[in-house]
Amino acid sequence: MNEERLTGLLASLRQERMDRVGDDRVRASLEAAWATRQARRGWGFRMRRLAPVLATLALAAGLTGATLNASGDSALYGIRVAIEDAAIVLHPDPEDRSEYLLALLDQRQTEAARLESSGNALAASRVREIEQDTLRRLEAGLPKLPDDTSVTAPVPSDTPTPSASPTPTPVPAASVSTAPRTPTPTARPTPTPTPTVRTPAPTAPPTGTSFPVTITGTVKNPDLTLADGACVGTVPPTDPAAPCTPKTVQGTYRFTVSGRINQVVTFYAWRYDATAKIAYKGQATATVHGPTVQMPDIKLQK
Amino acid sequence: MELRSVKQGDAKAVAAAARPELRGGAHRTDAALVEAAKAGEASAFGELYERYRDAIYRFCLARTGTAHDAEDLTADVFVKALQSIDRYQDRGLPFVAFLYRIARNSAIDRARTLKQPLSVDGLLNEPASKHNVELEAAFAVEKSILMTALTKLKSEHRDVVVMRFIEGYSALEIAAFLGKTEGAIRTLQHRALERLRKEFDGAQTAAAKRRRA
Repeated sequence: MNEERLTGLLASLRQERMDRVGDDRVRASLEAAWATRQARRGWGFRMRRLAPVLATLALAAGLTGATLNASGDSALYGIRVAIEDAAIVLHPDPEDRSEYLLALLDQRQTEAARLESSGNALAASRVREIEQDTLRRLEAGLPKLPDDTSVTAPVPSDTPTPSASPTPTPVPAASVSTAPRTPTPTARPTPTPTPTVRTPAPTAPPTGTSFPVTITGTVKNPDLTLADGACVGTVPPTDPAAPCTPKTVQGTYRFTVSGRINQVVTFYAWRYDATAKIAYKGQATATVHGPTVQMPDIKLQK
Repeated sequence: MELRSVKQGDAKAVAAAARPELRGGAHRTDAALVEAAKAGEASAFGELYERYRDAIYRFCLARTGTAHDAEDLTADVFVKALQSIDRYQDRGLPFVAFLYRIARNSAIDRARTLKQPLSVDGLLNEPASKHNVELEAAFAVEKSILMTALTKLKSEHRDVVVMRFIEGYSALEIAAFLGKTEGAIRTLQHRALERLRKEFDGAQTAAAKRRRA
């Protein structure tokens, strides 16, 4: 047989087709195989597809957890600080932001103290720097207390008293410093004629760097009930009838401000009775000795 | 452009030059159907089956020599293709190249298992047409002898003969399918035809002797 005839014969095989019965048999096998495949794919296939996603999520969660709990001597602490600092913008309300920064400051101080106690000076100094930076941020956002020392500081007395001497004795100084904080003047039936009781002369001028101070107090009506919705501020009102913020809530107020040790703080409260057209006012003064100051009650009067 | 040799890396060029029907025709391409089948669309695999059923059947027929065995082998090929379609990666070759590879391996496995010699007598019992009975009978005999001769070829010779002269692929396409150079395919084709002619002549002589006897 020649090549041409052979290739022609081979080409004739191109007409070969699977018959109907054979086709049906193959289709039946394929349908069974398809059903098996689909059943196998169900759980395994989904898990295989989900596995990278789950692994990524787990890794991200682990990394985030490790970062947000990183201690000051960890390489991740810098990232943690960056994340915490970045979260400041999530607190647009000044009061809310101050609270957040205070919490951060407190936590960083604790961390620095822990590192110092464990003898890790390098990490501790790094955390202290971060802490100082947090403090600066906090103070930048806090309202500054008016320097009341000039207002409430004693004006030179017309009646010279021994306390004016350059070397005051410690005894009167002690009694003077406690007098404003414990207003129990009725205990003495015969008050001494000298006006030294009113003069907090020995009060030292504000010293040191400023720091956040949380000030709380209560405002009471003339009938000594709690004055809800009374205006509170660090300056006296120019127009008591004008709308104001902040106001007391159930008679109490709370501020976080920037202050210094020995700084004298005066808070004013007022409430305008529109029906009677009467303005009730009051004020209280206290000295800053630490991060929290409890003001004396302000009693509103006509 | 005349390409002297093609290796597997040039598969994309081959696929681009291949006939449209081999790449999926005017409808969805092989690649699109494979992706759809991977995603769970049964009809997509059905379309692939329709597209390549007969080609694979003929390939299997040349291997097995009988329609029944060829159907079994075809079923094996498509079931294995279905089972491994998730691992299939489109390298620019037509999907049929993947099927041919499975068919080759399945046929080898099957031959190892069965070890059954092809019965020429069985092939001669194919029903003939009522018209031109003599001509049909002579053609059927020649076809049967050719099938017998084909089954006696070396595997790679048979593959080249089937792809080149039955399926009509070019040497370039076959080179891409089998991962050989075009020159190697031409050499194989020449030797395969030579061998087939000898086998055919030998089988024809033996059949004639049997008829005389």
